[in-house]
This record gives sequence, C-alpha cells and structure tokens, in this order.
Amino acid sequence: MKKSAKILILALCLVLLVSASAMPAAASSEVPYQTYTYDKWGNATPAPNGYLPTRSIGGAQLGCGNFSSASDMFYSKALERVFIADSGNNRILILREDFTLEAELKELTRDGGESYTLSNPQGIFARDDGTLYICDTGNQDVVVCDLTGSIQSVLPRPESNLLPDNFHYQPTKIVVDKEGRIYIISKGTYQGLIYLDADGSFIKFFGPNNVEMTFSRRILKIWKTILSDEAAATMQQFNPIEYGNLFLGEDGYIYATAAGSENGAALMTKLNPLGIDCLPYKTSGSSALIFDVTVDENGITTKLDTNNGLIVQGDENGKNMFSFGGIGSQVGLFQRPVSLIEVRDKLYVMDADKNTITEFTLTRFGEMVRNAISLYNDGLYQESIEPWKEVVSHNANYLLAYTGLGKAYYQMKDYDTAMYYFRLANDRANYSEAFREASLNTIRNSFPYIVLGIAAAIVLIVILKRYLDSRETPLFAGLVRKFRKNLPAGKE
Amino acid sequence: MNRIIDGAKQCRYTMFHPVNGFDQIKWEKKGSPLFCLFILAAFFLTNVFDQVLTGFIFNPYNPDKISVPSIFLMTMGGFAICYAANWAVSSLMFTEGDERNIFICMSYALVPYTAAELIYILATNFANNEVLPFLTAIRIVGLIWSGLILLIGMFYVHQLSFGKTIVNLLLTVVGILIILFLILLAYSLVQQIYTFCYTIYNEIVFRL
Repeated sequence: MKKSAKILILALCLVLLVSASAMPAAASSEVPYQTYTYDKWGNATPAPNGYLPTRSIGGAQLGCGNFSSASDMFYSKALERVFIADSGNNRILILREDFTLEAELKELTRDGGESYTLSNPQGIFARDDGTLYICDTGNQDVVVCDLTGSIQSVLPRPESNLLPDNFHYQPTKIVVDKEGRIYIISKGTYQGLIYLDADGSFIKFFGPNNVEMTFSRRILKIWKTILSDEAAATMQQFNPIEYGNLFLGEDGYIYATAAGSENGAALMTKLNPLGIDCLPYKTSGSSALIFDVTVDENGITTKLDTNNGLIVQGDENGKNMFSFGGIGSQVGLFQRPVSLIEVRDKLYVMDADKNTITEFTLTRFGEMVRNAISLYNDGLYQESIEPWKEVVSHNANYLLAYTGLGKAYYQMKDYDTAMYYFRLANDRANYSEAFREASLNTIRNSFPYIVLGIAAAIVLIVILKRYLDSRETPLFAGLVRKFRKNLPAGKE
Repeated sequence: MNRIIDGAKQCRYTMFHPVNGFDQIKWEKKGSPLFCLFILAAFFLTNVFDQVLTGFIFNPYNPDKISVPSIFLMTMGGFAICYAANWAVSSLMFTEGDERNIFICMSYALVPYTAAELIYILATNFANNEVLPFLTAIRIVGLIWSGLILLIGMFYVHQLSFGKTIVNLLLTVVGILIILFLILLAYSLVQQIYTFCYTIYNEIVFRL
C-alpha cells in the first residue's frame, strides 16, 4: 500500500513536470482576460480571443538595461525598424522587427562634431528615407537626425505672430507627412496641432478640436452673459480639447486622439490635409481615454484605452472586432499602457509602469476575421463569403461577420440573402438599401405582367361593353328591376 | 349593439365635423361611451403593434424587451390619469363638462392618432429609408388632427371661452403631475410599510 502510494506520487510529479515543460510560455494557457464584442443591442458579449499575449519584452532582455517611463513607440514599415522613446533614460532605442536591439541613441552628434544630449524625449517619428524626428521635450525642441545619431538640424521653438505671448513649447508627439511638413503636439496647446514647414517655420495651427459643451458649461455660459465682463473673465474658460497622440495612416490621414475630455468621451479624429475631421463614425460615451491608436492598410483601427487597460479593435466603420486586456499585473494586462504599434499582424503595447512591451499575436479566429475583411476590401466579395461563414461557425454572435456576409451578398446582387444577414446584424441602414433593390427587382420582374394585365382588362371591358350594347334587353334586367323596387320612392 | 353602431357613426362624423359633432354630443346626448371603450382598446393595441409589427427598418425595439403589461399600463393608465386630472380641474373650474362628455371627447381625440399610426405601421412594412419623410408626415398629421379634436372637443364640452379652455388644459397638465407625484409617494410609502412588516416577520421567525 505504502509502496503503491509512493509510486503514484512519483508518477504524478512526472506528469506535472512533463506537462509544464511541454506547455509553451503563454500561447496555449489561459489568458488573464475575457475578449468581448458587442451584440446587436449594444451589450458586451464574450467572444473568442482575437489576440493572445505571447511574450513580454523588458529592457534587460534586449540587453540595454530596463526601460524607464518610456512614452512612445514607432514602427516604420519601409525601414523595418521599431523605435522606442525611452523618456526616463533619455535615449532612443532602435530595434529590428523581431525586437532585437540594433542601436541606442543617447548622445547625438552635431555637424561640427560637438555632442547633443537628449533630455526626456517623448515622441519619435521616422520617415521612409531614414530621417528621425525626435520630440526632445526636456530641451523644448525637435531634433532631426539620421539612424546613426548625427544631427541634420534642430528645430527650436517656432516663432510667429499667431502664437500667444504665454505660449509654452513642450513638444510631445510628432508626425511628418510625405511632403515633409511637420505636425507637432505641444502639451497644453489647445489651439490644435502645430503645423510646420519642412524647414521648421510655423504655418498655422492645424485641425483644432471642438469645444465640448457639457450641461454644466452651458449653465456657466448663461452666467457669463449675465455677469459683467470682469467677473466673467475670472470664470472657467471654454477651450477646445487638447490632442494627446498622433498616428499617420497609410492613406495620409492623421489620426489624433484627445488628451482627455470633460465628459469622459473617448475622442478620436481623422484629419484630412485641410485639418477637417472625416471619421465616418462617432467615438464617445464611455469612461475610456484613448491614448494611442494605430490603423492598418485595411482601415482596421486599434485603440489603446489607458484608463481601463483595454485594447479595442474595430473595422473602418467603427464596428467592434475585439476588445481585450484590462488592468492587472499578469502578462496581457497593463498598469499604464502608453503606446501601441502593429508590426506584421502582431500588436506591441508599451507599459510605462511595468516598463515592458507586451506582444500580442493573432489567433486563428483573429486571422479569419482579418482575412475576410481584407478580401472584402479588395473587392473579392464572393471569396469573402467562405471566411465569414467560418467566423460565424466559431462565434454565432459576431455581428461584424453578419454585416460582412450581408455586404458580400449585396455586392453579388443577391438582395434577399443580403437582407437576411443584415437583419441578423441589426444593420438597418444597409437592410434598407438591400430592401430597396429587392423591391425594385420585384417591380421590374413583374412589370410585363402588370402591363399585360392592364391591357387585358381594357380589352375585356371594351368587348363586354360592345356585347352588352348589342343585346336587345340589357343583361340582368330582372335583377335591376327588382333592386329598384326596393328603393324608396323618388330616387328612381 | 345599435347604440355602439350609432356611437361609431357619431365618431366618424365628429372626426370631419368636430364643431357640429361635439355640439350634438353635448346637447342631443349623441355618441356612446361604450364605443369609446373600443377606441381605447384600439389605442392600446396600436401601441403594441407599434413595437411588434413595425417594419424592421423603422423598428428600434428589442423584441426580447417588449412588455405588453407595461404598454397597457402606459396607455390605459396614462389615459385614466389624464381623464381624472381633467375631470378634477373642470370640477374646480365649475365648467359645464360632465364625466360622460369629457370621456367621449378624450377618447375621440385618440382616433386620428391611432388611425395614422396604423397606416404608418402598415406602410413601414413596404417602405425603405427613402420614404421616411412621408411616413413621418403621416404621423405628424395624425398628431395635429388629434390635438385639434381635443381642443375643439374641450371647448364645446366645457363651454368655456377659448382662453379658458387653454388654461383648463394647462391646469390639467399640472393635475397630471400632481397625480403622478401622489402615486410615487403612495408607492414608496407602501414599499416602506412592506419592508417594515417583512422585517418584523423575519424577527419573529428568527426568534421562534
């Protein structure tokens, strides 16, 4: 008995050991969060995981010492490099796509050979030709250098009559478009993005947000009109919402997130070259604070919600694909996520408190969804049906799949099936379109019969009339006489 | 039965000749309160249909959350409160309206709205988003018609001047608010008494 018990324990230990070593780090184990999407009535419903946390990358693993309140990451597809602004350590890290360290920029060199020390760099951008733009927040300027750290120019505080006298220049985030024009967020500047020429001269403020009129502010406005000008001047000023982060889309649009808002709206704008917001949907109405955003070539938008530690991914129309993450200390949860990039279908999130980068890899389910979306966007409607149906077989509550199926059938002119799927997706606008086409088709198809019917009716009436006229005694004469008898007198 | 049919005829006549119609109701005792119950039933059913039978494109209701008892309470209870408030206000204002005529007048006022709503519900099943303005127009016409019937009806039933009719209606709104407040008060009081009794019951049960 005793011996068998010992053997049992030994066997158990062996099984445990084998299973522990056989299990890859996190991929197949339980994830610390529940991925969710929204059902057709807007309730959050559990969904299969679209992404799984696969590894956590710290500075020590890269061989360059721990990060210290890193604030920005940037991925350049053309350069195949990832750039990290490690603000606390006053340095810029250049990594390869597989997240191995390539270079560390701490001391930059000017043309003459003298050195330049970075101080609290908070924003980084790289153009396709390898020019780096660093928001050197501590030194209050923007440094333009190449990948080796030799400075091409230093853009100081912009000078212009348009800038207010008390203007405090604190560049935190930067984006440079294809023509070399520079867009900068300066902390505390609510007038919009600072829009500079390629040589660093100030052009204008770009695409300011609207002033948020909450209920309390409306009441305050009424007070301001009642009170004297001096008294009103001491009251709260109504300023547009400040920008917090920037992302340059592949389509040339600038996606800008708000640094926070009065009523907790999760604001995001998509600015066209004129500085006008052209996001096709509204983003608002939650406790979220969207801190960073990344948009891929299919228009799939991934937002990072710092307040709730959530990653929210949606398609180009703002329909939710996956929401996951949360606040916590396990791999896959965050303390204070600050930056998000997408590198070849993998998401990387920088956490400023944990000082790590978490890698998220697409699951098979996530791949299916993306595959279907990209097929549809490429105009391959018929081909996108199969992937969407596969998605539905995995998650029957996935609204996006039903909308996708409906759109695919709509494009294939199968309006009845399209209506069926739009109804499942609760997509009333698209259902209306499909319904209109379907009813037009019905009218079109039955048009010959309608015309024939009318013609036949006319012919029949004419023949009948001739026949009746030709009779000597009218038809139903007896019946008519009988009916007339019953009528009151005088009406005959 | 004949009285109900007569009531229906009077109702149809009043819809298109409200002045004459209400005059006859007031002085010739035409119209039937019994028929008004049918109007109320139709009004209630229309409100149910509004959530159940409206075409998908125009129906924002979640079918899982439709509750017929609550619709009944909203429509019939709402009507009862309006009726009670108007009757009470009229009594205080010493108008000539009696309960029968007020009842008939208020039920008749529901007819255009109900009819327009039924047409709307039928039309939504064959319409897409492009004809939405026309559908809205149908509903608005129904509402305005209902309002006119109510105004003219009140004017004749209570035999007040036009200004006083308006005052009467405004006071009715105040009366509705007071009734709602009292209902809320009574409800919370009953709830507290219930909790009190339940606590005592629990104490006794635990001590036994």
